[in-house]
Amino acid sequence: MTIRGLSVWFSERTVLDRISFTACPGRIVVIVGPSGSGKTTLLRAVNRLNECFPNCRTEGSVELRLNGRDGDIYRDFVPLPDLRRKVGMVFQTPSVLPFSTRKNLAMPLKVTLGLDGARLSERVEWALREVSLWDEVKDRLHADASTLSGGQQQRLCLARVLALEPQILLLDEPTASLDFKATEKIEELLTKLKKRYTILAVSHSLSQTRRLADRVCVLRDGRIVRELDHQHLQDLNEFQRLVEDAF
Amino acid sequence: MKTATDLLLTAYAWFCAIAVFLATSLLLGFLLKRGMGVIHPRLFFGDTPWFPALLGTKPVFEGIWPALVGTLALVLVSSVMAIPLGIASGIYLSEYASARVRSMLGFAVDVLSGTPSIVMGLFGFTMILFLRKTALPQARPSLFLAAGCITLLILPYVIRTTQTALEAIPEHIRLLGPSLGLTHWHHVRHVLLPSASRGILSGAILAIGRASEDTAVIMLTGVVARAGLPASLWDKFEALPFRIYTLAAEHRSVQELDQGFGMALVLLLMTGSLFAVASFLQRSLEKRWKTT
Repeated sequence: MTIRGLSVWFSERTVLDRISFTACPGRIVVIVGPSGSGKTTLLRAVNRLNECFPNCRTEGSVELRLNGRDGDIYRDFVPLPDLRRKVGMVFQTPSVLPFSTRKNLAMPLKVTLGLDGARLSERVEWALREVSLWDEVKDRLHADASTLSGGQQQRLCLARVLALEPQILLLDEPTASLDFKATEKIEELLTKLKKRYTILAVSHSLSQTRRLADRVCVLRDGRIVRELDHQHLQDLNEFQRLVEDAF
Repeated sequence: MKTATDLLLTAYAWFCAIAVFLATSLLLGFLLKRGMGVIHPRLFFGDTPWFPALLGTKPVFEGIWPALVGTLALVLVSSVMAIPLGIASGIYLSEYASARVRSMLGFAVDVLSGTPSIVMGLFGFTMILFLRKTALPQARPSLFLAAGCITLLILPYVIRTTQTALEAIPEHIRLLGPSLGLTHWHHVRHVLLPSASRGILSGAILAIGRASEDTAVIMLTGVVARAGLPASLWDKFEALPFRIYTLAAEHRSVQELDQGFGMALVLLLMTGSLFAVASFLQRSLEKRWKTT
């Protein structure tokens, strides 16, 4: 993933200003910054979800390699629904639909990929196993997903994205509303998943950032003011100082 | 510690709730007291045996069975026309229309909802006169015309409740469909409509209730005092609200007035049953949606 000169406006307000950086599979890039610095807007620019909001204008390029082809997503090199399947997003609040656990996974697979029958069931099971949720829900797949705990719901949302076979994962504070046990499980999962996916995450927790990130981009007022590599993350005090300076 | 204002407002809220409950109970109690005594097969079928009357093989002269069937037919035909159209319009206003179109159409819906029912009835009557002088000389007041005018009357309820229910869906659910790669229509059909189903149902129930009780519209567009069971959509028909109105206005004895109360009770029971059926359908559909 290569982002070049990306700027985003909502009405006349500049939210992102000429952002450029790269990310690739095997490494987690974490974006940190004060509230209102444009972190979520940056994530949403990668799957063009900002266009769901009124008066949004985007300039610059986001080049991705999808299905073996390279292209700028803002030049429509891949249809929008396909782009959003391949660049999966997990939101801060667990967004389960008012359906059963099974249908939360099955509906997007049926509607977007046309899966049905045994193939659908296999994919559902695979996705739930990927997020270590299968054993916890296999006996109540038809129960309402809202009866799951917060951590289980968030893992369900991640499973739903993984089931669509994405290539890039966008995670917007995925553990913000979870307790420390559930957070631990999600972080273990992400460490496992980074081997296969390009992961771009937003976090408000510096300790979590240190645990997960291979690279850190510090955003302030819509600009990347600092990029930190793995070596900067080794010493906690040094890392904290660098981030606070950038804030 | 609660302030005096808090206590006053709490007391006022309780008073309003109890007042509504009491008013409803008094109304129901009064109807039951005056009307229960006349609920008898004779009220429905008069002197006609009940089975041939039910099948329509023998006419009913004094009973309210034709009026009950006429009201049911009116409610069903107008609901079949209004509910899908209203839901589709609500979806359009919420999910597809530009701000300008939404404003213009929203204004039109508001004007329609503010139209008095007698004006709607006059509109229907004028339509018949116009058609008779132009394309359809044989046009006449009928069940279909009455249902059409009732459709216009109840459409705004369904449109507005659908639009409001959809617009109330939280942002993280609204973004979910597109983020999973669903097209706009798939997002509306598979994410937004299930999330808004209860709000949409409340609009449909409101519309059904309104359709079953309106008298002014049907007086000018097809209802008559005696017509028997409606044989087709193009025939005149009887209706319970109209029978209640004429009995209340022209009763010659206390017994006849009590018959009116009995009919009002029947109308309430009929409407309540329609609400129950609508709720049951919604719960069944919801159960199916949630799991399959």
